[in-house]
Amino acid sequence: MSPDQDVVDPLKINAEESESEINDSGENKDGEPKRAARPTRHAMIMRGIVTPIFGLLAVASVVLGVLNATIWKPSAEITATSTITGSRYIVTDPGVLPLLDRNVTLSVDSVSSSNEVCVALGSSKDVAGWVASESSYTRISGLASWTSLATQTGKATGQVEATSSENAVEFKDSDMWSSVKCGKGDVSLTSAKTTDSTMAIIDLGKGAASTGAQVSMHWVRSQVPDFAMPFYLSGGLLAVIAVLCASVFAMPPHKRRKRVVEGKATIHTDLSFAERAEQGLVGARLPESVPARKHRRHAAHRRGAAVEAEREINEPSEQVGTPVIVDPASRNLVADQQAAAGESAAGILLGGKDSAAESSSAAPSVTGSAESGEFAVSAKPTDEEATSVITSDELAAYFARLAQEVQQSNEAAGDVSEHGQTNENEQEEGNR
Amino acid sequence: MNKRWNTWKKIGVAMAASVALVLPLAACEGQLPTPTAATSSKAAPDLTEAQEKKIRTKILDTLAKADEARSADGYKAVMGGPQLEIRTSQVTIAQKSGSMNKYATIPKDIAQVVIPTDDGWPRSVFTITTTTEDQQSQRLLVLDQNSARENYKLVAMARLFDGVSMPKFEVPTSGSQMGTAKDEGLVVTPTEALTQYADVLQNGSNSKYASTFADDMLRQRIATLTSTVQEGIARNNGTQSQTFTAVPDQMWIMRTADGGDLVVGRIDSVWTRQAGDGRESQPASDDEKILYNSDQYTSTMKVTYVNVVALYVPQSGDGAQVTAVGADRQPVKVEAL
Repeated sequence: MSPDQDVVDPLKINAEESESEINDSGENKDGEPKRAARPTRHAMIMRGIVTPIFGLLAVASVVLGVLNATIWKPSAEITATSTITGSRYIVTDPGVLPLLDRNVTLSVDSVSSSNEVCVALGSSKDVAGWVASESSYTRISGLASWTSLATQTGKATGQVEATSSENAVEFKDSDMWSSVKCGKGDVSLTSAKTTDSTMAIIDLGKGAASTGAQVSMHWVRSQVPDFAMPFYLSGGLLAVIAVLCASVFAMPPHKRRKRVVEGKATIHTDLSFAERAEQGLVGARLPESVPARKHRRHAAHRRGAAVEAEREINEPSEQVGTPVIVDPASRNLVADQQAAAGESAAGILLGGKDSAAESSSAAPSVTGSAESGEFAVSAKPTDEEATSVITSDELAAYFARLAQEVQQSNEAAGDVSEHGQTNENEQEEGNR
Repeated sequence: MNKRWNTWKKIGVAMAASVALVLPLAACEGQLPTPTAATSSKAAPDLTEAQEKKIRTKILDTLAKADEARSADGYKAVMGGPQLEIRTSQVTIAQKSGSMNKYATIPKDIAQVVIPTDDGWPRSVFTITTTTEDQQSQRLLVLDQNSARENYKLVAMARLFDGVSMPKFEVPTSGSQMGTAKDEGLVVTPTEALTQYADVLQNGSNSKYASTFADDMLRQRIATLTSTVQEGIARNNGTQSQTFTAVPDQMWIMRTADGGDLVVGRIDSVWTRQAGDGRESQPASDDEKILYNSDQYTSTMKVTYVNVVALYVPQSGDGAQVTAVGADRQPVKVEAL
């Protein structure tokens, strides 16, 4: 199969594969022992050890997932409790109330049941303002664990002096609280739609600082973390890996290689006439598609590649008998004609000095590049003859007229570039 | 035997290892959350509209009860500043006259509320009521909380002048900023506005600050009253003098949306009337008469008034003038010298 073939031929590939299989099972040049139907050592390891490991892991993941979704499921109801002593006022930090849910119930159970305990909700600046004149108070700063509250001692700013008792109001009578609840012994207050700036403040009453109280916060989480899903996902993934290990990864590496890439369909990216003219290719043969060097890499991996490579060297690919495709659309008639007409046309062209110098220098370089291409098809003069549509005489007359025009324009404009000339040529030809 | 023992040992180690691996995956409540401090850079209003309504309703209910009982005892818990003195005087007069002054009426419905965003104390809430049932002008109420351990009190009330255009304020959900007595960039500072307005009230168009202030109803009324009284006193060769003194300590300021200040402040005034030709100087109004509460007159009568004025101080600019938008005035003490 020739690597520069543009279209993949499925029949050919099949033939190739069967050929390589024959090579596999038959005589070998790599010196490997002849194998029977017995699975390889690689396959045995993959199927006997790796697959069961992944299978077990997959089962374990699914089991853990089920356990996390049932008996280990995180509880929706969280109650955190702490016993707080040492200060009359207890405040929650901003953001503690809506920590787990926007609905929270705050319960205070005073040790001494004689004191009136009050719980109030207020904005953070109001609560801070209320306790600013206290020497110290207790802050509930968050959760220490899932069942206990973290507390800190808050220090008063000391900037505010205590208000005169004449105008001061009782804690429960303050205008600042959005809701307040008082009771003897124990009180519980539920805060709904709590915002981040809402704080709770607890007044244990005068003289209750030493006895303290048990404070608990209760949330019903609307969103419980889902630990089962990651286990299910990884279980599925491990199962897929186990199946792959038993099938694809257990195959010998050469067997699971793709063959299709050997003959790659390429699009003819022939340069336009103008582009070729720029590169000085006018008058040279058309370059065929670039030899596909990378194809050789795959061929080398194939069993029996050495044999085929040898064969390729001995008999050039072109002689294998690929059909010669003549595409009149991509034909450069001027170039063809030039090649055919040879010296006579060149002689006429010599009138324009620049173009003559250009063509003589361009021709050898193009030929060189064509030769360097490994699988370039050498153009046959017979083909060109067959596809020419104008006689050499007509073309000679045309070039003569052209040379005259060029000379005239040179005289008129002084300097006319080679580029412009060739473009003019193309246009003229198109008109014809 | 030994080999088998080794195998069991290996299996045991393997099982222990797998249990140690699996155990952390079990029975977990999730990561312990930590409270996040509110990151909102914008200051929140000190009160919600609902809270303001609750506070105002409580104050007005207490007022209504005290008015009903014709007793000033209940006032102290909900009122302060000049309004406490004005209202006490009004209820004292009502005890004699049988009815509260019609200017003492405070409608329960409101047209607008201006809530501050300031963190500290004192804090002032400005509330503009609707017109009264007898179509008196709207009232501008100032509710002030002096400290965190005190409640809001009604400290000032000004009756807005008819047809006056009030400055705009921020909506209560975003809150306004309270002004200070020394706010810059205005026509005059709030303290200057109050003291200069007192001078304008005392000297009328002869005041050197007269051009700073736009003409208003209070100025006109006081000028008319003074000239009327002057006519009578002049006939019997008597004299009269009125002195106005600003009290910048009792001043409440709120920033308007256009960068100006609305200043509500107290101006005390003393009106001394001296009759000539050996005549007696008598009260000039029914209110003064009731407050004097005696038939013993002398040649000189000294009446103390408490005035509350609301001044809009705009940002300084070409031709910008301070405008009085509302006022209240009540005699609180009548003496015969």
